[in-house]
Amino acid sequence: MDASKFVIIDKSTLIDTEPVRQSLTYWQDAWRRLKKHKPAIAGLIGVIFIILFGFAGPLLSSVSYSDQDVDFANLPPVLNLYQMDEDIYVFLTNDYKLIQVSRSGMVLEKYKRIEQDPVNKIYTYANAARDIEVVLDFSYNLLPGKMDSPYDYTLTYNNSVVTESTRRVLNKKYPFGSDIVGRNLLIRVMYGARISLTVAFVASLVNLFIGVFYGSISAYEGGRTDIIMMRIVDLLNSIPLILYVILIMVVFGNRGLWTMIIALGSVYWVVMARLVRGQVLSLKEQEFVLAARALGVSRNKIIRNHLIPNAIGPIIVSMTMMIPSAVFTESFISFIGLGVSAPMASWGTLANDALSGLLSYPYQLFFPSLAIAVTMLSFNMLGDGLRDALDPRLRKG
Amino acid sequence: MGRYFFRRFLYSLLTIWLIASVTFFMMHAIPGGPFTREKAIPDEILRVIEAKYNLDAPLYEQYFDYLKGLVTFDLGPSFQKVGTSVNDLIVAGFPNTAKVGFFAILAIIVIGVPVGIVSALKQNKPLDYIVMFGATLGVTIPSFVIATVYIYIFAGKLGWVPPFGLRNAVSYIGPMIALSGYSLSFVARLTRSSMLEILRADYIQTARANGLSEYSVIAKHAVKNAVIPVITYLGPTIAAIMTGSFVVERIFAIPGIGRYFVESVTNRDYTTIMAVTVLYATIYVFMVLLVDIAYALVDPRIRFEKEKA
Amino acid sequence: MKRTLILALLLAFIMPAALFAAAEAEAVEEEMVLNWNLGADPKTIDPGLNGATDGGDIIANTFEGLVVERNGVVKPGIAKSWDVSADGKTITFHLRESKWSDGSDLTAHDFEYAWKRALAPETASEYSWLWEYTNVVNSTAASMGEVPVDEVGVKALDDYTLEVKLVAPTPYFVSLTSFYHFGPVKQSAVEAGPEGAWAKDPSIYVSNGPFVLTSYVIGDGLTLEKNPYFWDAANVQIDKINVKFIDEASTAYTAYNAGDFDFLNDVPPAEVPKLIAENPEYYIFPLLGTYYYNFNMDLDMFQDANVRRALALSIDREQIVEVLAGGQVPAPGFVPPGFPDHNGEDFFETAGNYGIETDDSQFAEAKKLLAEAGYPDGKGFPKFVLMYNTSEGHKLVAEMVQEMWKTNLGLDVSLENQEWAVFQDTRKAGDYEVSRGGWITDFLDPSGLLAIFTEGNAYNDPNFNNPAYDAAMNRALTATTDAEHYEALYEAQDILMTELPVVPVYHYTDAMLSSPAVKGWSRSQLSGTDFRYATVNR
Repeated sequence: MDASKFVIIDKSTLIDTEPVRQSLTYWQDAWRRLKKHKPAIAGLIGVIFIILFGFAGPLLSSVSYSDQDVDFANLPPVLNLYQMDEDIYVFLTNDYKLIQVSRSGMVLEKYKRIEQDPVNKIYTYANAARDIEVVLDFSYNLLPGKMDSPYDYTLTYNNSVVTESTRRVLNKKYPFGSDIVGRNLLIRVMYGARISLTVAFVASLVNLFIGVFYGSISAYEGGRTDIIMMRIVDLLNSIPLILYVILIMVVFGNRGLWTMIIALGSVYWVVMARLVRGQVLSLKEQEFVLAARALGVSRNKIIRNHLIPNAIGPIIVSMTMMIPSAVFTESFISFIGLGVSAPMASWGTLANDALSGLLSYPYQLFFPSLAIAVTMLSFNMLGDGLRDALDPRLRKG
Repeated sequence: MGRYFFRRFLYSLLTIWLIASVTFFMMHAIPGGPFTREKAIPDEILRVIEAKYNLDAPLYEQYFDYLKGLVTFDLGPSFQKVGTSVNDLIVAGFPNTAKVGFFAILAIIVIGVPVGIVSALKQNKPLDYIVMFGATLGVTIPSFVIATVYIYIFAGKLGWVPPFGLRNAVSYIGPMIALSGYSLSFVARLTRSSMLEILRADYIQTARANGLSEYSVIAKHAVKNAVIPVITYLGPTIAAIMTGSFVVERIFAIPGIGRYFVESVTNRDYTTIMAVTVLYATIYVFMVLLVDIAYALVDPRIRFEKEKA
Repeated sequence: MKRTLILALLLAFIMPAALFAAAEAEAVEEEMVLNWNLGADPKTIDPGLNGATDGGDIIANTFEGLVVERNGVVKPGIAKSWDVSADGKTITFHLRESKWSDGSDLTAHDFEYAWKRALAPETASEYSWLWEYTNVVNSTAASMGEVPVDEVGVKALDDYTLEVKLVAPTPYFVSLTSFYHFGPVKQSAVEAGPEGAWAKDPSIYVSNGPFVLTSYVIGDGLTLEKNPYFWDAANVQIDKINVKFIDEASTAYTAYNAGDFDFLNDVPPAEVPKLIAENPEYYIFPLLGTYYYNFNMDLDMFQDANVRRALALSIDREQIVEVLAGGQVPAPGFVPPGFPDHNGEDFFETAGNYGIETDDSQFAEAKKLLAEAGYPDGKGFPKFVLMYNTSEGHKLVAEMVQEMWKTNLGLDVSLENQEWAVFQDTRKAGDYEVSRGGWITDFLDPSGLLAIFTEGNAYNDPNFNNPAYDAAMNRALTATTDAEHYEALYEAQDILMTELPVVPVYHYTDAMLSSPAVKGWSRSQLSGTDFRYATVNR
């Protein structure tokens, strides 16, 4: 044969043309599918944001969640300023305190009320140096002869009368406003994130461990053990759980975060136990488990290395759903007044504290509620996406 | 079938008894008693009062007395309302709680299920996203915030609804929203995911292949099977909603029994704690039983499995 | 599927309409009706059994005792007049002729029955301990079942004369009979149902005050109507009072603004400053009580009086009162304003402030005191817990005090809240370092407050044992003249404020919101709000 009839082929081109599907692990595949699910990505970003907000946020400020400044209590995030003079701006609070604020929105000084005439509704204020004196008349639309006035207040300084607020600025010192003793709500909401999320994460983890342990044992053992263990779950289910959470909170007293975590963790695991049991029950009849058994693998190893990894999808989904519901339950317990120890405050405590002042200080309720809402929404969207992404039956090309 | 349900019934009674017992002893284990008041009562007087209510008897004796009362449907006197029996409290409060609860459950079923179905049919389309986003919003804000803000806006600012109580049809809207919000969006999402699963099932494909109209495929085959998990979820939910909510009843000032779940514990009103626990357990167990019956009716497979077992 | 859905939808809309088609009948024009939110479903409205202010408010309108107290002034009630014997130990009440709401005659025997019932152990009244302070012969022993109630020194001499025998002169006894616990009850009504049930059952309910109970819905509300048999019925203007039990203050306040209520017992705390400034119909009354903190005197850390003083001086009470904004009075001493002494001067004013300023002007001095005690800047002072019972208001005060102690004295204080029932046990057992306390007296005498710090008293939470204090209190209680009595009390408070086993923070106030339409109501320091001579003109 003539050697010239043969051509040496570059092997690499050959391989290139042969279609090879990239091998994906379970997690790679799940991540690939999760990426396509836009709401889930939005949820993931939301979760990361909330965690950063709570855990990194407070590091940026030297102000503590417990620092009080009663002079600047109950200030809203947006200040409507009255211009008294060239560079003197004042803010009038809902409870008739007069605060001097800089043009750019920095809270400067609370004026002292030096004279008050409650009958005619005239208050006189002065700053500490006593070189500024402002007279407030708030009788308009309150006293009989002054109904239907076009404005509610007049502020008089150096004989010039101001009736309208002319400048609207953001509160520089308290971006989320301040609470009833002048604490910074932004910082409080950040610390609230720490507390709410810590309670939710740890309680959910406790739930997860008890639930997975209990559920998998029950399902794997089967027979009478399963029946008894599930009857106990049924029993726990038919108890009004909130009543038990309260009982536990009362028995342990309020000793910081841990009481709350114990109360939530010890009561709400039944859902997880049922879920895991269902998963394990369907998995344990499958061939790979039979094979493992035939090879003499121990029970614990089968559960740990074969059953639980295969049930991990639904478990993770359920976990992402459990966290927001723990945030909710925690806030409900705070509503009853059994929340974490003061002056720490979870979002639930903050929201509850703000409820009675809703009429005058709605912003105090708005920010903690917004934080709860963003968290709930993020976790739920992430959970929905994960459910689709982790479902092995959806695993196609 | 009959024997199966009879056994279930006996088992339900056992459950209720167990719960009653556990609660009874737990409740007596927590510090304080029903007569710790704003002004602490001197010990001598306290002993006199406790003797009157038989609270000085050994615990087991009180326990057997309690069980005796329970089987004769006599729940004892309330410690927080003098001269009023716990039976009176329940009889006065339960109808109000149940009325609100009924409409809340109705809303959950009538709105939650269709929304879930529509969303599943339009999976990953804008409508799906919008509807599911809306449904998720329902679980984002705690009910005490929803209720307070609702009253603030609709009763205070706008004056559209009465600020408290159940005075007319409009006054039911607020409590209904606050009570059903969470479960409603849960049901919507549950329906959606279960519907999605069913739509991929082989028999649906077969039905389609047989040339059935899309409408009848969905209405006759898919929906019926998709609601099974919803029924499972609804059982306990109905029990929870029918026994009321502390938050909703307090903020909307509804004279129901939901508040007793919290107040009875803080007041150590032993008899009322027991009453609400037993009431909840009874409704719960009964609902679970109903769910099982509903299964047997909806899904022939389940009957088969039960008989096999 | 579709059909059932439509059916269900239809049902959802029709049901409520059908259920509530019967709208509330509109009130008749000429009737004078008051709508009042009481704020809670009272535990009982039986005078002898009641122990709470909500029940007291109702009883003040449905029952009348021997005397009536309005804003601290005692006036004749069912008793036209009374005589006190020369030794001060026998009081004879002369009753007017009056009737029960069922038309039968009300006699001194009814009072004798009511009082003996109230203190009898079988009745199990929460207030029966009060008899110890009445000094009525044998009352304490009888309340514990040690002697029969027949031996108690209360006797109807005839239908309209009631004689009370005391073991010691008790100047405040007459005013005490205005308290709801001493109201009359009719035996036949009380015994018509199970214990206490009669008071909530309009069909067997009998009272003797300006109004009678005509309906009671558990958890919801009650109605009172004018009692035609009331001895002064001619002057009672209001025909009907609708009472609601809404406990959520913000809901009730919204309803008030919508015109559903004319009178509120509670408003959301955050609205108070605005109401005080803007609304002349918002009323604040002093209450005879004090909010304070207990030091656990059994602990080593609080042995040094200088330490306690430093802590006391580091509380800016003015600031706390400003934040609470309910018109509370900063408390330099333990006795609140409202007790005239033997010279007719206010005890609170005369007592002065014991060198304790109520603002922050002594913060520096406090620091110095703590340094002298061996803890400069709080260094070396053990950590401690400030304990309070769960409530938003208590939390707020505790947070402020914690911050003041932290920033001024450098002390490491943490907060712990316990639920009320648990808290009471903890406090009683002395299982705390600093705990919240509050005391409101039931009789018009400072001894009602000061007596709780005598050795062995059930309410002596700090466990303050001071023989000089006990001796002063003992002299006050056995004194035969007013001067002696009050001088001993001044001395007692002097000791208390030098030793400082407690830090008084503020004196309580009570506030209510009344629409401008309601005029002429009055208030008793001991019993509650009274609408007998009030009018409602919409």
